[in-house]
Amino acid sequence: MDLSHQEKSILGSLIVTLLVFFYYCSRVVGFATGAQELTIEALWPLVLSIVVIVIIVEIVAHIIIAALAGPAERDERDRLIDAMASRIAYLVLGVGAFIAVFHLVLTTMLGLVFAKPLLRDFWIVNILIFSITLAEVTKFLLQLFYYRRGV
Amino acid sequence: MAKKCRVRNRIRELRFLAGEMTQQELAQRIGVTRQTVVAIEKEKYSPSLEVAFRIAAEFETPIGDVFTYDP
Repeated sequence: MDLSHQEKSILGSLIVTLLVFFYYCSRVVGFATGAQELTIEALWPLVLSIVVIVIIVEIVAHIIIAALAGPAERDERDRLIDAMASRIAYLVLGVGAFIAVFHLVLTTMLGLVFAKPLLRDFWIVNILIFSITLAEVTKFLLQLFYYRRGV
Repeated sequence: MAKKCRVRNRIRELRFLAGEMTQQELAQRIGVTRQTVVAIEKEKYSPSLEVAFRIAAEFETPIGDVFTYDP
């Protein structure tokens, strides 16, 4: 399959996002199963380390792609596809943010604020991280789809 | 799966008449990527009016001779 520079770049970002997300999930399962103590001190360094890992791996991946496929060029078609995919991804992110807020309001209103408020924060943080990842993956998949199908 | 647009074009033919101009050459001259020229030729993408005018100007022909609308 003949992939353009943009498609290779998107595919690289998609793979990086999925790999890092699976790594994050494996660490979160450690919290959920109680293998690791659930503390805010343990959660935030994990989230921050994930952000740093994503940035570094994305930079390295794009350097490799640029070295193999030449410099990236973007034109009106790339911008249109980006905008079309981002519009749907934004909806996905919006739904995720709504669920996080709904979760917060519901648990508070129903008096379900657990003895451990940290558990609530843990879920909200993870709902948001899952939403961000899902929105990104949706955007990448839609971009690849639009490049293949045409717009 | 390909989404066909209703804007038809004669770019392939005009490239041939212009001394077998390559897609890369045309792309550079009108300021888009080669992939976009490929997509326009395959009628998988309708270019902006500005790019359409630039293509017509490149072939020194009226825009209506390059692009036609098939309702």
